[in-house]
Amino acid sequence: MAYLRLKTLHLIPVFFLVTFASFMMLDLLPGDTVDAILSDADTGEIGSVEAREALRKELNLDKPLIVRYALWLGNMVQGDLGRSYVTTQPVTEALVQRIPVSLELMIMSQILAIAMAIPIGIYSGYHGGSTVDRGISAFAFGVLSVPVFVAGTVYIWVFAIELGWLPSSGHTDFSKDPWGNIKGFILPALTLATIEFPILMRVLRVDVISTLQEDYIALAKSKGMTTWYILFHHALRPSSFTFVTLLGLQIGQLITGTVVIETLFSIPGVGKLLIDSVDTRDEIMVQGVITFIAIVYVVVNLLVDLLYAVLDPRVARRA
Amino acid sequence: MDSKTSASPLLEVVDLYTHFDTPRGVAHAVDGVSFRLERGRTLGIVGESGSGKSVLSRTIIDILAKDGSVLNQGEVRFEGRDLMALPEKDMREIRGREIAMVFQDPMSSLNPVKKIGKQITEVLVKRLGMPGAEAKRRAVELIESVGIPDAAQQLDRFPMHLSGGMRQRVAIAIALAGEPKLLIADEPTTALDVTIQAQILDLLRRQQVERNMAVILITHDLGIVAQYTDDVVVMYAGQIVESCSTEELIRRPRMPYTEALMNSAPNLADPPHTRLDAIPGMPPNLLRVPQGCRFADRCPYAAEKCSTEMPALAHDEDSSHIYACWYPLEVKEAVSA
Repeated sequence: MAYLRLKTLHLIPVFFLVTFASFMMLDLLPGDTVDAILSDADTGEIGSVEAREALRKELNLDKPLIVRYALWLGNMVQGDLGRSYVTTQPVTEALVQRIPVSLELMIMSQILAIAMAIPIGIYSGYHGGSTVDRGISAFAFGVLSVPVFVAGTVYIWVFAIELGWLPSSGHTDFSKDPWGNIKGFILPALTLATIEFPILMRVLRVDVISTLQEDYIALAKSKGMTTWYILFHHALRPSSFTFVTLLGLQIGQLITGTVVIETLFSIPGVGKLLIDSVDTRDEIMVQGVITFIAIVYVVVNLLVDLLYAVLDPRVARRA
Repeated sequence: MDSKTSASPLLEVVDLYTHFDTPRGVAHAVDGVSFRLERGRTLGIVGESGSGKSVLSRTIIDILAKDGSVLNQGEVRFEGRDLMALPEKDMREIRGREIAMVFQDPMSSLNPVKKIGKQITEVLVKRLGMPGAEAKRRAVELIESVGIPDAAQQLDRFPMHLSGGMRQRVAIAIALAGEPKLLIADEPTTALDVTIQAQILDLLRRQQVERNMAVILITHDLGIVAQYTDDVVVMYAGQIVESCSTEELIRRPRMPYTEALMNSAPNLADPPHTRLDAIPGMPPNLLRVPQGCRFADRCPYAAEKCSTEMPALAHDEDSSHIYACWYPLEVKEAVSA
């Protein structure tokens, strides 16, 4: 429990740092938010001086950065992330709509990636240096260098167009059509998993190779345990630290790093929201999305740290 | 040799070779080793680091890498069956049940992320087919029998909670779980405090007597050999250079290497700051073993013949004491006298 408290305390400064830095960087962007909101794309009109000043006051843009951050922070802790400058929709509402979509995509893709990485990584590590292992490594590097939109396009072509098993794009509400919803996520999740599993597989392979040199593996062999049992029951857990760390980092990235996928498959997720908001200079929305990302990062890393303690009882003891 | 012992020994190693195919060449880790071990007896295998004694033990129980880098030849006859010829599936039946092993460093030989109870019961459940609850009861008995207090509480603890000596007791309990006929103890006390050493070795001996188990005790310490073994094999650079009963070896070593080993051990009776008779030089590189006697470079009695021709293991007419030396100790003394 002391371990948990310590880890949680570590994360508070991280959270402030991320939100403040993003606030500052948005402020440093060239151009004026008021211009962006009031200007008419067709006529190039930027509104009257009075209207501009009124809006500037209303959005608190006339106040210094640090004051605006303090105001935003005060509202944030009460659960109010402001309203979109563009659509006036509350930021939290927009997030609540998008988060489940991104979350579902993330979970499905990670399950697929793990399901591919663990058996292949263990197999490759057990046969480290063999022809099969080298073949798997070459294949992994090949897959790793495929851009995500290429992988996605290939899957769409094979599974949606040629075979017609799955929809090529679009999103269905889970409450309306659960199976349709899941079907819509299979290809995007598979695409993400395809580009992510090679790295996971590689780090697991390396750690399995070094774990298999340990004396306790020799002891397990001398007990007459089967290879399968030794690999999964004795070697996997001690070999999974880098794997879990990487998984945590990837999940953090995935919550927004799926812009390409969300665009390619027309999925209304958080990543798409972020990009659209940047386009329209909807700074308050961008800030809200970044805050959400920061929270996800922080929570996922906390979970990873907790997982270390579960994987190896010595970690909790050391802290 | 009398007829009773020659009938069918528990273990008979015949002309065993274990070579490692490394990028720098072939390492002759075990090079033509033969010995036998009767039921219930203790054989000491003694030698310096790198003499091949650990590789020999791992070859016997067959846990070296199977990726083609290990080249084996010879026979390991266990109760008459050649283990080297057994398929992996049958060999797995031998490991843990017939032959078990205790490793040198209890800090690294227990799985750090598995509870102690689980590490014992997996032998009972997986190998003896015991139901879980019974395996737990048996594990408690085993933990008690190796002298660990509060046995029932230990099941849920991790190795990190125990001292080195206690961990080695757990390792012994694991080895005993399958009720093996042969226990190979590879330097079981080298990593432990001197005060713990005797406790662990006494525990091993007590278990051996109770279970009528044979033991191969691998060590570099002739003091341990003298106290705990019946017979002894001295290894040098992958080969056996001397072999006889322990009593005979201590009384009348014939091979200069054995003598050098004895002289290099510190003696408590010596006055303070007595210089130790360290053996000069280094054991030969196992990638390029010399063609003559492998000890010749470091041997104070070496003559020309020693570095050109390898002496075969031989024994005097009146004894079973075998040694590989052109100029065995007593003969030399007789000449110089």
